Amino acid sequence: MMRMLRWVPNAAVWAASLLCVLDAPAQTQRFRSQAVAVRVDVLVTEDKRLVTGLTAADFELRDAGVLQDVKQIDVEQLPLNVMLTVDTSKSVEGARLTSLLDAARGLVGGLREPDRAALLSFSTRVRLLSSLTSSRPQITAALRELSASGSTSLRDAVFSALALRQDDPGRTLVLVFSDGNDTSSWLSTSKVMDAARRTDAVVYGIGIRQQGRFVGIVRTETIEEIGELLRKVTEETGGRVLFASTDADLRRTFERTLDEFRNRYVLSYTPTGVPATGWHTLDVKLKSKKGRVTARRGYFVDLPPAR
Amino acid sequence: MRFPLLIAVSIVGTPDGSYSWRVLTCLLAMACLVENGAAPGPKAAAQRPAGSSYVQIIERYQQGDDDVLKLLTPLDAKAIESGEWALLKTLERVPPSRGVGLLHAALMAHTDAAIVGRIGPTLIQWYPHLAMAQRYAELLASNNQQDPVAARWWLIVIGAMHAQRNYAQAMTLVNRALKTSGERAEYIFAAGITNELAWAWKHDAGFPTPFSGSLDDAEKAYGRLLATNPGLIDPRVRLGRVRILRGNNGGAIQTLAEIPDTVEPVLAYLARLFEGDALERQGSVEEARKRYERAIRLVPQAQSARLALAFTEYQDGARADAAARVRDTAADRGAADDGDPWFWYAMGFGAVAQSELTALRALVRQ
Repeated sequence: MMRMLRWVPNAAVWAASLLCVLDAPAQTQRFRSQAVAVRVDVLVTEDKRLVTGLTAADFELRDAGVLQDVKQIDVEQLPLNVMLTVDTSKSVEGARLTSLLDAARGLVGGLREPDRAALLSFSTRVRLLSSLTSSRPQITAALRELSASGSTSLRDAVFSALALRQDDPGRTLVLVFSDGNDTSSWLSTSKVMDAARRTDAVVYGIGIRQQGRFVGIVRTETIEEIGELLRKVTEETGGRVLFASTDADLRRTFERTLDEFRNRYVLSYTPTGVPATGWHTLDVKLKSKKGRVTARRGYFVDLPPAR
Repeated sequence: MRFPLLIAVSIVGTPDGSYSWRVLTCLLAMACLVENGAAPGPKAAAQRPAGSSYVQIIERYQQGDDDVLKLLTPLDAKAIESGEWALLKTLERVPPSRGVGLLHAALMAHTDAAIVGRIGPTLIQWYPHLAMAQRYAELLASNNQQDPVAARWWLIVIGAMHAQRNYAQAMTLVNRALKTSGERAEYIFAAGITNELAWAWKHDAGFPTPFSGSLDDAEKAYGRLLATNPGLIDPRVRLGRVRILRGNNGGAIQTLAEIPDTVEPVLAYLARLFEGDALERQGSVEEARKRYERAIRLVPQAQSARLALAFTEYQDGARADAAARVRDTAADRGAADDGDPWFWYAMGFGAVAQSELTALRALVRQ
């Protein structure tokens, strides 16, 4: 079964089409686009506020330039898989780590019954402190293991979180907290971006706004600094970067991220008139209503494995 | 202006390598004059702590008292300069061997104050101590280019700069080392590493840096070392990496393939990791996987080769395999944070700065 699932589109949706895929003969070596639906996670905002109450009829979606017939999936029926990926490098030591722990506990407390969470930490090394679980005590216990030291392997961590996304019907949110730039990863930005194009997980980045400081009598501007990678990978996957104004604001920012993720739209369609494999550019717009649409830029359909 | 004077100082060294302290201190006074525009006069002296206390600090440091760093670290540039003056006056009254010992101790005390006991994270705050240590190192080298403490001291500060990704300052220090302590293999190696890391920091990692490094210069530096001693492994590993960064994957594979798995595991690991990278870039993914697997066998707890392998599986659509591999390496609770050779590689001389510091500190206190 896993062999088959490897070559369905990675922005794949399960929904009604899932059974069709699983029932197909394993030896079939062609892309069965007719059997596999694609799922696109969409955020709509206007003046920084979430736009709710839209239906599939409000959206226009083009796959590789070809208009598609979209349906809307009720997000309430889809469990969440939250890959909590937190920077525990030396710079997080102290009050920031305390605030981070508080924010993470708040996030876990906001999960619902079928939702699951995993905990990855990264400094010099990426550590999986808890695999995806619906057990709140397990995640809470894993949070207690967090301590700050070492450098920042952000790219390695984002790839790890994406790679750990499981083949299940849930929506995957990779929530990455980092207060600095990558200093020690092996994997390159281009490889992480490649991985991001091959998954339907949505990446959200959380940074801390650097307050303006007085240098002499001149006040510097407030800086919303986030690493280049997080900016790119969130754009690629249709996520966003949110900033906490202070360490103490982290809890509210984590909660805001979860709330925003719950209030997105999930559109589904069965691709028609598009190439079977390779990169598919997605273009999602609102037909007539006002709002800014944020969605992944496209998806990649793998070739069948050579082995 | 100070450099020609230091050359002059080196001329007054006696043929047997001992020091003519009176001439030396006189010339240093001239150096101060040129650099500061005036000799430390009564007014300047009044603003500074008593010079004798500075000499006592250095003597206590030499005797192994680390608490004195609490007194040395807060001194500002003017106070340090005043202390230097007092120390040089002291040298006039002591035998040459004792003088060298004091200078060695002063060099390391300021280095400790700058690196270990630094009071803030910015260069501005710790620069006075670094600058003073450098003056002592150059003074020692100008009288005896083979001075063992001065020669090794450069590696510490270059390493400290590598660790902080301050490649512009590291390159300045490398150039000073080459000029004052001679064209030693370590400095040529440091020049290559600084160029390589600076280039990677700017072009690979995407960070703005005032010194963007030159892969051409890095390749020349490593090539020069290998031309002298083809058996060296470290520069060969780095030469392979630089060739990858230059897009010469074929050349990199050829260079790295000459390094067998039987050399030190850390170096063999890096050779296989880089070979895998070059092969992957060439499109030979299956061969790349074999190299990554060899690397994993060499240093099982390292994460870089495991993630490299997981990425090839992920890209190939073998998601479950990739996930299992990531899970295995990320869930390994026993693995040390700094157990990956790639981490040390990316640190450059920063990887040896601490051990060098410890060794030199012990040496000057003997």
